[in-house]
Amino acid sequence: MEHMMYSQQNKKKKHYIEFAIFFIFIIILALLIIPSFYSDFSITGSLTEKIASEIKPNSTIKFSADLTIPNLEISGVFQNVELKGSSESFIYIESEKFRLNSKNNYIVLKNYTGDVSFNNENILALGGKSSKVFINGIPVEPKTKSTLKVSLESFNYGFLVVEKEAVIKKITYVSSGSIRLNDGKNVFNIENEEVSFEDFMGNLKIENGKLNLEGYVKNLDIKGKQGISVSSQS
Amino acid sequence: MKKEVLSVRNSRKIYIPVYFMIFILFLAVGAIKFYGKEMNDWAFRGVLIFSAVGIFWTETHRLRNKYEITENAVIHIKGLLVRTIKKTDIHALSDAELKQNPWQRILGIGNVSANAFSEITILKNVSKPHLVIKFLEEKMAEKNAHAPANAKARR
Repeated sequence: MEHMMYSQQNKKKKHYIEFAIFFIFIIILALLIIPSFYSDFSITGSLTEKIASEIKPNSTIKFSADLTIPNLEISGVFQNVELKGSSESFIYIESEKFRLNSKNNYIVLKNYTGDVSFNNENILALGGKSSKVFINGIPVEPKTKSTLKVSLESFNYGFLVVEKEAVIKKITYVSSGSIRLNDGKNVFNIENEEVSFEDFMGNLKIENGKLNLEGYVKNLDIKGKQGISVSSQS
Repeated sequence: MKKEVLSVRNSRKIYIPVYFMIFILFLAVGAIKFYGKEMNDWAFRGVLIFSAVGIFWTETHRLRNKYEITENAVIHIKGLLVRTIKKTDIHALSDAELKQNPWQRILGIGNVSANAFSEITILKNVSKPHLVIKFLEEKMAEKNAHAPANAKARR
């Protein structure tokens, strides 16, 4: 009886070992195949790309503006993202941690897919994937994969460029500056007025405490001294 | 009288699932190279470690058990560094039994039990089990035929 119980326990143990070996095999096989044949596989990455393609707007009003900097979060696929700033923070590239301790840091992200959120002083969060990263002129390229995972801790910046294409679904905030529509045919100078625009698509640049937008919008509303509303014909 | 000894170990066929997994992993590595894709370093190291450990484990597992059927006894030698030798006298054997599950039948292997009343010596996963049991039965018959008359009488 005792012998039978011992033999049954042994059989159970043997099955656990077989299951563990098979499980390890499946994990190794998945690690081999998924990153190699589906190099862009990433739950967050694919989601960002999906969102970006879904919200790519059909805007027709040519829009150019120099405004004060709002609190903003943009996400999508950008050809080029450039940052300049003096901040002793860290940038993470894959598993490597780089300390940004020089006076003038200059970071360039090529073919960046991910999020950037900022206010008028700091880059609050940056996280995504990039095909190539330059840190103060030193290139960092992926060795085995086609992209690098990049993230940045809170970074005090003075210059930010997001090119091709920054998409802002909708923003409403009180701002001052100037807005030019259709190659300067209509110019609006605003001062502490509520500006609201929808489906902006184009380039974004922040320099000397000013937000410069160049691209297209679908709707523009200015509320304050002058009540202006411009919509594209659809 | 000519002394015959049959010496057997576990068949390598029982490790076919492990060999198959190693084969699949190398096939995947080959496919990645063939299509010019980038390979995850850690996964490749995993393939090498899994294969090395797999081959080492199967070989040591096989070498751990050795069975010998001699003129006088069925001997089970167990262990690599620490050895346990279990000897069952052919005289004491009452019968022999062959067990094969479907997987073992496909692979042509089986478990041969040499039963000596309360004690059972099992020759696990041996190749050509029919020949092994035939050899064992021959030895049992020979021993019984040569047994002294008084021993026969005692039986």
